[in-house]
Amino acid sequence: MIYEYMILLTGSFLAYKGAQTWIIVVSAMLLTLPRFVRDQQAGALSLTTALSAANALLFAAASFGIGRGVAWLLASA
Amino acid sequence: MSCTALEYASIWNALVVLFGVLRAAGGDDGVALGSLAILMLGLVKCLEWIERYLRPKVIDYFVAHFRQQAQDWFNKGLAFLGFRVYTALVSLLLGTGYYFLLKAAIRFPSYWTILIPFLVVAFLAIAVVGYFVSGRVPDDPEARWRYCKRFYVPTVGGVSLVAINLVSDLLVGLSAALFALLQVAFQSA
Repeated sequence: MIYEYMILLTGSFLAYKGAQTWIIVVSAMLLTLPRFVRDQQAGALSLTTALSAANALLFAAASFGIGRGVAWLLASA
Repeated sequence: MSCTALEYASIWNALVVLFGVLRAAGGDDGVALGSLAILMLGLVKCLEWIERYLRPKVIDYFVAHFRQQAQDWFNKGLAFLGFRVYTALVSLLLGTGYYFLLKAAIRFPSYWTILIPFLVVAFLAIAVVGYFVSGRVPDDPEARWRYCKRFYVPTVGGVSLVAINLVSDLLVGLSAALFALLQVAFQSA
């Protein structure tokens, strides 16, 4: 989970610094990559991989929102 | 043991002072990085929980549910159209996926320049997937067309459902506006 943590933290910090929304897609791709590679090597690309990608997109969006939220809070505090 | 209002106020005050000290020491970026590092711990634990416990359960439920539906659909007479149970399952899943995609697209109308081409491409891509998951389709264009129509049934069903939702929402909104107008008219008369 350290890999995921680092990606989410980097994504949220970049969002805090004002990065555009495409950072969500990049974060989601990086989050899905290990699972995608593992499933592809096992020849088991399936619905679970797609759901994993959707889940990664959701969490990447959440981290982006948190980053922007922190920026807003610090600007208004 | 519970805190009194005064104790809550002093805790809040201590937090505000701590925030001020940290902000003075580390600057905005330092405070942001620290708070994000703590918040991301919660998010990553949530991600871990979903990946480990929730996702397998959800997948098991949906696959079992859709497999049963696909089996029923297959048994209703799809067997000689080039369908296998797997084909029916994929068709149902794609139809459901397209339904959610449409619902999401309607939620974000300002991105229509991206969403409309994406929806069209996704709709056409379903036919391509259908080609790759087909069973023994009889070798003539009419049979292939009949297979294609059946494969699209869940997708078209999803689109129809979204359209019905939209129309019903519109009608409810219009009738509410009409009643409000009538009420105003009666009150002023």
